[in-house]
Amino acid sequence: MNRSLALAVAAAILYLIANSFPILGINLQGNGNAVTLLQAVHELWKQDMPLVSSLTFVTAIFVPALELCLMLYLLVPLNRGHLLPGTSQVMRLLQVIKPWGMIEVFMLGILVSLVKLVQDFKIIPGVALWSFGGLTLLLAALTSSFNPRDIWSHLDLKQRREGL
Amino acid sequence: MGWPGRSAAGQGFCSCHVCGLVSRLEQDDCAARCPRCNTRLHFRRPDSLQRCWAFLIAAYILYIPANLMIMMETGTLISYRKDTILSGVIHLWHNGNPGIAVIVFVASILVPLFKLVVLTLLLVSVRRGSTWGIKHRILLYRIVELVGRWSMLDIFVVTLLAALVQIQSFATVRAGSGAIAFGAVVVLTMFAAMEFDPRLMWDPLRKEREL
Repeated sequence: MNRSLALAVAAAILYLIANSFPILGINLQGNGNAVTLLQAVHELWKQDMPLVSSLTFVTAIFVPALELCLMLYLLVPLNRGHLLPGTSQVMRLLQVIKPWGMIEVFMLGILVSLVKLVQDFKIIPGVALWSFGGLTLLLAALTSSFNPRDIWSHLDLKQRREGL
Repeated sequence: MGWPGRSAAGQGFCSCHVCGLVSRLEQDDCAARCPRCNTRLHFRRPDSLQRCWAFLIAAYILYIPANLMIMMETGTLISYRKDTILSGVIHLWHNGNPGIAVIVFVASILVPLFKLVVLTLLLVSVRRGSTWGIKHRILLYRIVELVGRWSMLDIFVVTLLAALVQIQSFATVRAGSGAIAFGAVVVLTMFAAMEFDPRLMWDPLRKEREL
């Protein structure tokens, strides 16, 4: 669980970096453009594509953020040996949103976009490109180290103590 | 096939789908809740097949515009193209990187089609109470659950390109309405896969045994 906490904190920091800096920049004969993920979502919204834009917002921005917050809510107090109220609801919510967090698919999306752009434009890789790569790896490691059973058995203990 | 003893459900035990705790449950008790996490308990997901069919049929209908309508419009000084999913893949194969074209082909064309076909097959086989090839069908279900999310690839690519390639009069990319239908297909098939309760596949085997 210590390892999960470390990974979750690292992932949260990387998440913030990944969302505050441009992912890619392009340049064509002196004219250029660069976007962060949030700007990309906003731009698509302005182009009358609210559904597609919301879908990207939810799967690549909102759900990963919620997932990390919920995990920190569980793991930080657990590090000191206790659990906060609402643990079982948080666990349930985590299970429901899990399939909708798609950072790793988004990472592949960045790479495919890169290949499509590289012929026509000069590409300037942004800080967020590397951050998303790192974030993908950290989230995979976090998923494999986070064991829900540990949380449930802690909750069992807590309930038993309170029951006595 | 080896069949170790009676099933838990046959003996009135039900596992919670959130926390995994196994509790004893009356057969028709609809209001039972898990003692540990307070989730509603049921032996099988209620209305699993109906809901799965509903999502699946909606996905089938939207699958047509998703593939026929324009996914992305690309305009440069010298050229202008409108691409559907398939023509985009073909263009990428000829003018870009064949390896990446294969990835996009798998994620955007093969995976959605595979999901639709497999879920239909699973629904029909459960409906008919078939015990045929159960291990293969379970494997198919796991694959559907695992690969479904990767279809979102094209949506992300369109988002990034449409936002990034906005260099006045030199080059612009716009998302087409095909992207809406395609996104909906991905979301609907994910919902369909979640609604399907794979335990239903094992039930005919249990009935056969208990006869």
